[in-house]
Amino acid sequence: MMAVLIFFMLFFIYFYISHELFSEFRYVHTNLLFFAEKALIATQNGFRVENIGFVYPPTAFLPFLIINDPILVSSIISAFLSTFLLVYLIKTYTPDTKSLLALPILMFNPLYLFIASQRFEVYLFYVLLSLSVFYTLRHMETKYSLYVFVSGLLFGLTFFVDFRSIFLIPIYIISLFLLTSGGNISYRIAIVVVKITPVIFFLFSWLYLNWIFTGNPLNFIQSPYSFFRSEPVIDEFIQASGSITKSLFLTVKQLFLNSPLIMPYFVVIPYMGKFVLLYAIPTFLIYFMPIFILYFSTYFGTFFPYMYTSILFLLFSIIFAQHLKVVGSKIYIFSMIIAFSSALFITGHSRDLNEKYFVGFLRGGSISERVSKKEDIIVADILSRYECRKTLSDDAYTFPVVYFTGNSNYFILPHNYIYYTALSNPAMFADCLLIVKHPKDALRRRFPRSESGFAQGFYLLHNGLKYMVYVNLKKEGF
Amino acid sequence: MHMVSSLIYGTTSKRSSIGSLLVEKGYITEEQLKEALEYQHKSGGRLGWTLASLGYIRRFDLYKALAEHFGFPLILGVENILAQVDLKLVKSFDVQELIRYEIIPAYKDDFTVKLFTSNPGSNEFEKFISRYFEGYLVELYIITDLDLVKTLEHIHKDFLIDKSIRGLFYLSPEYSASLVFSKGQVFFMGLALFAILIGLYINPVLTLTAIILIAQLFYILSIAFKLIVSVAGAKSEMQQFITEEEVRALRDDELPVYTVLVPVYKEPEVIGILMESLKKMDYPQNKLDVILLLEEDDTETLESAKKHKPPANWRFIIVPNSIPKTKPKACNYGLFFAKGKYLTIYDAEDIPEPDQLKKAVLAFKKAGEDYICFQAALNYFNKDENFLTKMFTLEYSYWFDYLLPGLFNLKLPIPLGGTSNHFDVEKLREIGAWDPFNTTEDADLGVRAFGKGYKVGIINSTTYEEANARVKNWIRQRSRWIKGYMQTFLVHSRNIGKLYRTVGFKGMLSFLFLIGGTPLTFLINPIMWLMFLVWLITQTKSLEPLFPPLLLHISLFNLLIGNFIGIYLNMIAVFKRGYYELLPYGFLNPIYWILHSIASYRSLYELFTKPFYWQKTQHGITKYKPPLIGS
Repeated sequence: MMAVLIFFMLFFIYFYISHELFSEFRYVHTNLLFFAEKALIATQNGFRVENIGFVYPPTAFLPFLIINDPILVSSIISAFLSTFLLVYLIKTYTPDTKSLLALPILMFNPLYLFIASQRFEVYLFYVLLSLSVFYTLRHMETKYSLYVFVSGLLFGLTFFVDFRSIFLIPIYIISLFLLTSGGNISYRIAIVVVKITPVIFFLFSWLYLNWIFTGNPLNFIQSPYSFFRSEPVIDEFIQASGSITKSLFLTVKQLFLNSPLIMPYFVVIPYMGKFVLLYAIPTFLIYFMPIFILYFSTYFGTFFPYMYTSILFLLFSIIFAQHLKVVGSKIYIFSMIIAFSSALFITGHSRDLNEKYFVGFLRGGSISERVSKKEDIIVADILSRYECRKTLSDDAYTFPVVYFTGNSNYFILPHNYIYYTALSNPAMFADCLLIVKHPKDALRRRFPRSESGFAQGFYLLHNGLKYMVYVNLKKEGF
Repeated sequence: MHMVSSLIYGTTSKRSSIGSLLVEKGYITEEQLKEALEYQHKSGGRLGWTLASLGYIRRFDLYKALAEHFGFPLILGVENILAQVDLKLVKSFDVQELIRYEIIPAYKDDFTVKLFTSNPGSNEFEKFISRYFEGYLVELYIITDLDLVKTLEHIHKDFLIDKSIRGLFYLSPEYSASLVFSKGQVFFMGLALFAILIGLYINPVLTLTAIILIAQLFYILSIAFKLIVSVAGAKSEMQQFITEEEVRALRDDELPVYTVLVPVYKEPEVIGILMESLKKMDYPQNKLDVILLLEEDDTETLESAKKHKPPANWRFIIVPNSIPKTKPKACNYGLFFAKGKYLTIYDAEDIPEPDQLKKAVLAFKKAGEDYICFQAALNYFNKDENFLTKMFTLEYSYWFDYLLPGLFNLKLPIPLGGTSNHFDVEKLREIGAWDPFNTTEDADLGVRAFGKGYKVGIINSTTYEEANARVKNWIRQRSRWIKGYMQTFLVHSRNIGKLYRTVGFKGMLSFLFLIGGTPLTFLINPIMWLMFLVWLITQTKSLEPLFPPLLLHISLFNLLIGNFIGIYLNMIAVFKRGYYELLPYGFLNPIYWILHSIASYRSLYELFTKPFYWQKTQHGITKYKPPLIGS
């Protein structure tokens, strides 16, 4: 009963925030629209899930196949995860009232609210990873095999949410091996095997799916849209990419810059035992997992200094604090309050506009036009009004518009067989063109003079901040 | 002639005198008497029986002394007894009652009754007299318990055999597998086949797609079901149903008589394994009613069993030759002679954990009146022998440590395992005991018991068996099991409405996925694998019409996630058992599943050609020596 109440309360909070943002400022996070558009394509083309593409981790798309409403999906999944986390931690450790205080402080942290309502896929990854660690610890405490099973399964699932989890396999192998140093060698090997089997299995499943649908098992790595090729846009991160030392330096720098946001994480460390040789206290290795993720992301060039990454640190800290029974200590609560306040004010300096404006909104501010989806909605409306049924578009950039029109079949998109034919002779195949003012947009490159209002055989209907809409001169009724 | 009520044997006051007599006669030593008295003080029971169970006295000597002690004549030999028995009078009594009271009413006139008993002076004896022969003068003769059983067997042979074979049919014909297919089932199968043929004629692609879709949906639901049940089963690790403390706190004198049925056939090599294990059971030996059930033509096992010098309180019962020659028939036969409040079955090569019987007694006490049976886990002592025994161990570790406890925790029907199931004897008799026509009588019994409103539980104790180490032998055994599952499914699905009413929605799902689903999965698997292999090797496009997008995705999910879950659950089960070296074998499960499919097709063939044929599993082929548990 308590779980149901908590679920509805959290759902209401997430939904209310997201709904207000959308109705007042037409804001919804681009990633949510990306998943929603892919699900739209999959369901409106004879339920071809392969149209989602096998480039990005698939889990985030799946709920959209059932309910294709970004706000609703995000709120439901996040509320469910938060409830599970909250109820399970309370049930497992039966904390006193003081110890309970840290949980709501975390859950009302503005950055927590941001990922719960707008970046549920990130939130999912963080929760799965944290719970996987939590169950590993529970196995260490109790020796129950169920915990290893669940922990291995959750860790395996993280791969389908964020491919970076495979970087954690060596960390798990080393830390589990060291953590179980009291046991015999076969047990130590066994626990590692059980723990990493799911993630290895899921990796091979993904290779197989890539192979049968795209002909290349490594498509998700080699594709130009690959998850691993999302290039950082900040110079110092570009320079650090591929360099062990520079990545390390940047990781330490990020930890320092974010220290107010992740203060509880540091507060827990001294409680874990005296900081002697690392191998002697391997729990540290598991606890340092968020730092490893930070480091590997920087090294592989997939890092962007989002402040919401602090939530992973906070989740780890609260799990370990519960485990070490310091979650109710004054210093821990105090550090949580500092993290909460920092999130409220420091986020104003974030380089990610989404989290910056989101937290600003929570403080009573408004959402900038730069991240608002007003133009996307207007363009979708134009396409509907002009009854464009064959709009040629590169949805790598125009997916919000595709989603807002509500019908992906009105578009000729890269996954369609005729896309490249249509791109070579647009006037023959398309009745409208949706061009993005981005140098990498395929149509923008096809019509280099489009920004001057010229696209052969088409007439410019709309020229906005982000998009241009052209209509075919031979289109009926035009 | 004597008034029976005046002769009380077995009370405390008489103990020393029978003991002294035995010492005086030189049958036992003073030390043995002292030990037996201490044992009796701790566990209760009769002194003579205690001495016999400790192996200090021969049955013949004991009865000779008893006759002398009570002053009654002793008659030895079935022929001598039969010569004095009025068959009509004996047949007018319920044979089970006579076995329970250990009495044969031999002759009766208006004033006198002549009784043969192997248990003189007991309370049961008095009850019998007051119930049937109140006011009669009783002429009493002592006979041995074995002579009593053999005499009653001789007199009631046809009746006992008939009841052993058709007892369930007489009680509840709808639950008997003697009828393989009901008319309704034949009609339904014919209709389904006809519909498929018509479908294939009109639109073969659509028909095949529909069949594949049904199969894939079945897979996906089956996977979900197994996962849910396994997670529920994993909780058992955290909450031991019976704790070691509870076992230690149990007093021996509170323990009831426990019958152990050991149905054996041509197993001279392994019979000793169980016999030695039973001697080491942590249960008062004088309260163990061990019955070795041997077939008439199996003299070698009998000879081998005798060589292991069973205590005098163990009994050998010869099951008369009749068809079907099955284990459940032997068990039904043995049930007539069971004296225990509870009963269990062990195979000849079983090594139960010593405290298993005590745990079962506690389980019955704890769980309540509606429990009919508790199943102990089964596992293998020769797990490391070869690939097959390793895979078998993986399978059993999952089945008994995760799946069955999961069914128990979710209050679902439990298909019992072949041995180590512990019954409440009265309830077992009430529901008609085992179905001799069903080749997995145990699984059937579990479902039937559930349908009759009883529950089956799981106890946290293990019996170690010999895993089948040869492929042909394994396939024989497995095809019998799978055929039994098919029979059980057919029996209980004759009236789906009734099944639903008795087991409920959850129970129905469990029945469909576990009893029906197990053979079905193995029958469908090879077809799907073949399609997959053809596609993998040839990359043919000809199969594409059969797999529209949604179906393709479901199939892929089953192929990848379904198989993964199957493998991972097996891995975690051996992890729990601490069999870490078996973990990598989890990945070889698909090879093992191929063997299951071969056995399934053989079962299907046999279901139509020889449904009641009992494929005998050959035991004693392992090169591994059984461990010494409880020694």
